[in-house]
Amino acid sequence: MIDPVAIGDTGFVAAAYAVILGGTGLYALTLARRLRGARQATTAPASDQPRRSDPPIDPRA
Amino acid sequence: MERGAAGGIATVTAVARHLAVARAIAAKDLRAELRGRQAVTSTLFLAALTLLIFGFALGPDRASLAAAGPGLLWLAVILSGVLAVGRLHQLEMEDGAFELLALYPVPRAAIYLGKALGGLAAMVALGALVLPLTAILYAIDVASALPGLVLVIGLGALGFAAIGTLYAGLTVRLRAREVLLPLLLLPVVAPLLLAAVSATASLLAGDPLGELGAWLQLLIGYDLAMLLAGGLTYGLALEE
Amino acid sequence: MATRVLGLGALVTVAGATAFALVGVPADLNQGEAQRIMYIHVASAWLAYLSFGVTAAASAWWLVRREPRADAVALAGAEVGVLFTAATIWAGMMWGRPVWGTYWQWEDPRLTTTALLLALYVGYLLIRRLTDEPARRATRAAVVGIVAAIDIPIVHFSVVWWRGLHQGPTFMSPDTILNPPAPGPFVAALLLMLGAFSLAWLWLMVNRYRLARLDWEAEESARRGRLPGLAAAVPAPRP
Repeated sequence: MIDPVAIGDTGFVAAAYAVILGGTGLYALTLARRLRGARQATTAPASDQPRRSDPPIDPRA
Repeated sequence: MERGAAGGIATVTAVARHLAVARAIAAKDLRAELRGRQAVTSTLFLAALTLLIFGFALGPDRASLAAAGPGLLWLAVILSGVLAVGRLHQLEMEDGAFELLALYPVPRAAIYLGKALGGLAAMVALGALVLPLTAILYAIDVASALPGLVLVIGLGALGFAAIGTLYAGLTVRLRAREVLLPLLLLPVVAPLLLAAVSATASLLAGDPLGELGAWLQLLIGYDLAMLLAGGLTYGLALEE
Repeated sequence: MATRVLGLGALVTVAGATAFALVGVPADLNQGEAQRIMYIHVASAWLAYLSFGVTAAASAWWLVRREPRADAVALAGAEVGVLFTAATIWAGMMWGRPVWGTYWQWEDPRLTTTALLLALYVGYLLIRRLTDEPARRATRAAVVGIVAAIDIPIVHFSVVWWRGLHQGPTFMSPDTILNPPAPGPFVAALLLMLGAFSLAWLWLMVNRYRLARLDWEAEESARRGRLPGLAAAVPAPRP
């Protein structure tokens, strides 16, 4: 009862679902990251005043 | 009774004013063109060249070229038309005249009508050139269906001028307008292209499936929709 | 937060719907395993066109009221719409190859109309990207959005008519099994996927909207900061 042609189609099924769900997930993650960045920017706005001292050392740099 | 008559007269006056402004704008464009502005006339050469190039790309089999004729005709018209409507705004912009146009205290819809008339003239000129060239280059007999073909070209020209004028006005101030205008126009004119090509092909074949009426209706509907859209929103494109 | 619940719910239901579509539902007798793609294809299409409608309505809302919220909704609809439109086309192609034998079919009105929809979205997003001043950008985009809204029904009708004239007798589209009405599990799988995707769509829309609002506010305060007191009088530099 198993149709050999139908079995071959599973590749396309997998490609369809994987790309769509993966792409949507990627977009969602990117969106969350962009949103986080935008929120941080509004709560800690850049100052126009000149620095009074050297900036603190960034441990991540 | 009197109020109704006064309202009617006011409407007629408004319409007449719109038409007067539109005619003035279109006449200005025509004069500039005849004095050597070369906004549209250069695109005529381009359209002819496009037809030639298509022949190299798709030929030399006469039968397949003849079959592709309607499509190639409209592709040449539309691709050159994109440039033509763009240049009608662009050259005016470069002269500084476009800003002045926006400042005139006239109804925006009248300005749109005037520019669209210019665009229509350009598209009709393109059609008038491309039709006989297509007949010659691709060995298609157009004489038998000429009246119908003129109608289809007129309707297609009108629809393209309607939306092309709006989008040209919308993009004229952008640096990337040469790319953006075709990118915006081509998807929107897809149904126009489809209907025009189908109507043309149908006319040349003698309308075997009786589809011509439907395609013409589609063209007319498209033209009206785009004229409405342009008339209502062109003012927004003008404002800075 | 409510959106967190929404996001979690979307994740769970999408996973569940996918599982059901892939293994829970039996394969179609005619189309085989490939028919499973239909669920995600139709769901994506539904949301692609819904997003498009949202963008068109929000564009009109902007033109009438000039509220920044309207522009944010329009942008969200367009970006999320591109995503689902691309998904629809991809699923359609993945379905078409095994069933039609080709990745593309000019006679399928949904596929060709959706391809044009993608092109219209891209144009919308591009004209946004090329305009710096927020209000100008919103207005230009809104015009494009509304013209696109007028165009899409015309496109669909013309392609359907085009197909009707030249159609072969055995043309199949992804949701053929719905006509005549399909067995229960097929419809259930489709509705489940549709519901799950709708939740995901909602989550994406809400967050993209929020991001758009934040970006707008940031842009506005940056412009005001650059031209203190003059922002209202001096027109924006030409893009």
